[in-house]
Amino acid sequence: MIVFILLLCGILFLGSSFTSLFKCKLSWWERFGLAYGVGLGTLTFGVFLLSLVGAPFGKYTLVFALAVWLAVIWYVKRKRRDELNLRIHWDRPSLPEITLAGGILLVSLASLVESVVQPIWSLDAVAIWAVKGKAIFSLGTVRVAGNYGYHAFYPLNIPIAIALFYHFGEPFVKSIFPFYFMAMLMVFYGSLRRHGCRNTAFAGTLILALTPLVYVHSTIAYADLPMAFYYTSSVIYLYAFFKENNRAFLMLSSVLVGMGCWTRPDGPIWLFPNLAVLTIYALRRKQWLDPVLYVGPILFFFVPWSVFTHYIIKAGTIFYLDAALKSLKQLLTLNIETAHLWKILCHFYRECVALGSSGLRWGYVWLLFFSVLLLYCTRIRKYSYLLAVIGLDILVLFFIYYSALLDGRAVELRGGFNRVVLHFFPLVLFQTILLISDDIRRWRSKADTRRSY
Amino acid sequence: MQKNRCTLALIAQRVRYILMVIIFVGASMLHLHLGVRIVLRRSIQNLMDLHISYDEKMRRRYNWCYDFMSFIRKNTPDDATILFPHQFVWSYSNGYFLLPRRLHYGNREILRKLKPPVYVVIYKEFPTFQVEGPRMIHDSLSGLIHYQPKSTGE
Repeated sequence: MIVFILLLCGILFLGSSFTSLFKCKLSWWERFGLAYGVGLGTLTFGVFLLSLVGAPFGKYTLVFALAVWLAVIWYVKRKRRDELNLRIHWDRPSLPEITLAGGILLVSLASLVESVVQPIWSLDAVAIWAVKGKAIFSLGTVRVAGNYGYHAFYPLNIPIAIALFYHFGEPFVKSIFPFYFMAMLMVFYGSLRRHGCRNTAFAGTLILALTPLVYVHSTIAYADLPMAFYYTSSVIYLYAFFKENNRAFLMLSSVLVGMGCWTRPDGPIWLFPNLAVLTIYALRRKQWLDPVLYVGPILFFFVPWSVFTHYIIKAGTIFYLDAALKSLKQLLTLNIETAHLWKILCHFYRECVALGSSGLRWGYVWLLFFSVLLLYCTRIRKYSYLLAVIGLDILVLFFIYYSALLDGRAVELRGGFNRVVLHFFPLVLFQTILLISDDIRRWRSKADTRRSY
Repeated sequence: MQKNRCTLALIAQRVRYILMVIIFVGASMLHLHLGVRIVLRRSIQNLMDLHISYDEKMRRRYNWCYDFMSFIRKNTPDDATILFPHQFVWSYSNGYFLLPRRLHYGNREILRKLKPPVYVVIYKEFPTFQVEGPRMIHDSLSGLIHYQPKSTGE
């Protein structure tokens, strides 16, 4: 147990050192949340890079990878004469805030308890992620992962993390996912707090924590929640860049998308909305270098894995690529099958408005988002960049669903492809809270004025 | 005229406030209700499962497969080589239960290439070829053959 806590501390230390390289104002909550996700992502990537030069998987490789990363970070920091900043700012909370924080803590604890009590038993979780993790752990090498389970081209962030946690026994393995859940809630709260008041931020975080699909994914061992953490954080910091024009936020966002690409094979697909909106921003502001800078860290995480799968283990083609290309061709030539579009719209209606018939429901977040968007249509201009990212994300989602239907996998809309929407919940909630927080701020100032009279 | 316009704008703003409050509070409450129900249901299930063993939990999900994997695990050493039928139903996930044992899939040609001793899985009609060695029976469908040709010095 002590070694497990030490490992967690090591991951958090690595993550906080890494994020401190970006000179941007982050709250303590955000730093702590990012420290886990970024720390684990960099550590597994380091282990993977070491395996490319023949290093076996084991305790010594882990310690070596950790030491190399820390040495590089501390070298850069020393060159820039930076210092590690982990100062805690804590205002005295009010009673509603304590109640909301207690609710969030309870949900997080329930998720952690479930991960310890229930073993990894979901079919895909075992066959895609856990079996690879166990192979790396038992056979002591990262290279064998592709021989076990299916989809050898799936990135190894989660399998290596599983192998890492296997050192402490089976019950600890699934705790990777509740920690990602908590990290996501922390980053979400911290970034909402930056743009609005504390009560709204807590309420928004509680709504996110109690979103059925998000909660359920924190208790099963799929890589979709870690992917949602990386992608959501990247969009949140991209928005911070649009607002403050601080390149540190841009680089942080880029690193997070890169880690998303290192977590799931659909990472590069979700890069498209970010890059498209960033290019428009760069063109309008004449900051030509921004999109180029944005792609750099993503390639750092994406290229080694692509080279490894294509040329070293020869993992074969990505199974949905053919369907994606076929549907892209149809969309570009406007030869669209309306029956498929109708099916997707019906699916959206069922999940967003009629609350779905599947067990893993989307909840009322989307309904909330579209209603608030309609009410505040006059304020859309203020949040145009963030809304553009969400809009493009919805288009990408349509494209993914359309490709799935073309590929004859209609049944997966409710199953496998339902998981693709996981990062929408935090994004859509973030936007909703931003839209209404202006009004809440106005009410509070009016109430304060009245009270002072 | 201008005064009327100001009053209209004020009314519109108030209507928006009220609508926003109704929608936000209503949707949030419904959403939280849905979430709390799921968290509670799963937490109660977890409390009930606290005393149940790992094996029992896995058996609930994998049924026969988990029993068979446990049987193989019990009857083979950690460094064993095991030959499964080419299209074994659980081929994607059986590594999770059997690692670090070396798993192979195929028929007689694959068996010839493997260094004995090899444990050949009996599953339905498999193996369709002759395999010499002691048999360990799991049930009417499945079992194991400990294949070790005499020429290797047994």
